[in-house]
Amino acid sequence: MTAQSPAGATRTPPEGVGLAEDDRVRRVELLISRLLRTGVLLSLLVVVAGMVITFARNPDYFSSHAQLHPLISTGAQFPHTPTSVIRGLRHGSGPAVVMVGLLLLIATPVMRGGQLDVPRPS
Amino acid sequence: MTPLEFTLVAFGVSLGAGLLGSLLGLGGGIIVVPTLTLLLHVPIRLAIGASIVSVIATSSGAAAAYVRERMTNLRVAMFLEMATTTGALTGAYLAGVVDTRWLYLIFGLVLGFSALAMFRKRLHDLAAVVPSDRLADRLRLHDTYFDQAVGEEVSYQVTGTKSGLGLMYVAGTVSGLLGIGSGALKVPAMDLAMRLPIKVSTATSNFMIGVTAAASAGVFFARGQIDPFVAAPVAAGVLVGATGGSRLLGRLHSSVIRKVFVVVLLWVSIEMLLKGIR
Repeated sequence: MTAQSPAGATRTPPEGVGLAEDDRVRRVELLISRLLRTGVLLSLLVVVAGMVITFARNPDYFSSHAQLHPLISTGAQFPHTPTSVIRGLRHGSGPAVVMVGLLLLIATPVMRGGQLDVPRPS
Repeated sequence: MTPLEFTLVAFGVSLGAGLLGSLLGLGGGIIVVPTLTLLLHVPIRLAIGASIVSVIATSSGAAAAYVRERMTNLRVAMFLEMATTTGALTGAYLAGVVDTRWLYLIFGLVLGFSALAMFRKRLHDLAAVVPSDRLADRLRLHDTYFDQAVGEEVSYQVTGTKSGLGLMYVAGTVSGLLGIGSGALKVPAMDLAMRLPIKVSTATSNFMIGVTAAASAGVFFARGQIDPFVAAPVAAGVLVGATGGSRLLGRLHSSVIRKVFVVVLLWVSIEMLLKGIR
């Protein structure tokens, strides 16, 4: 991966920082970059799968005009606690699968936070 | 409208919002919320919940590229994230308690400001001599980045850490309150107050937007503001649109797009204000 970067070769380490640390920072940067990309793609796949399940299990969503309002109004019912998401998953509910995807997406930028501890000065 | 039609239309308009947002250098959120509320009559709280999720998707996608190109200052990002996430939690809390009327009004104002801010982009960086900042020295926030336009490594000094923190708290609050990335507030704060080069400011702002949005998204999730039926097509649409937009960006004359759409955005901002006043 490092070889692909045009900046990788020309970068000079900041004053007082050894080459070893610079390499380490670079590795962390690439790791974060991959983590973010994978997280976004994976969660989006889960979201799309959840929507497919939702429509497959509710054939009237294709034709009924009356079905829409309860789904997108202020009092709409959908899982919004970890337990209700898990319960929904057990019943194979589409919205619960969508929620898992969305929670995965929310967790993506948080997960990369853990990687950041490495380049700190010791 | 049937649920299927809604899903397709929401995906379509979010795709457009993501495309437009990335062409204009604004996030998708600031365009997607008015579209959902004004066009599709989605309640503003649900629109904000869907938007914040899409903000995470686009900012993480962009951040992945910027970090790989080493334009992001990770240390500055970590430092400022303390302020942006605290702000985001404040904003997300406020979003649940204030009257929706205020959400429309504040949204209209921020949208208007962001639209006008697109014209005030500085062409050159400020003077190279920056006042020294002890906190920035201690945390070793100074860094270098590779500028592709100049073709060389550019080193820079960071200053104004305290005012930076203050401004980031405000930006985070706006982000959590309105479900937008609020990059339009973060970039000037880093660029003007902390004197980071504009490219580093943009990249670092993008990086922070993800964590900031995740903080408020957690609150929105628990409160039941993230409706899967709205959030799914919006997140997918904005992400696809923004990815397409960043590919198109190099081939279009952005000054022309800017002039056309600043008018559209100002008009949308007035519509949002009116909805708050009525």
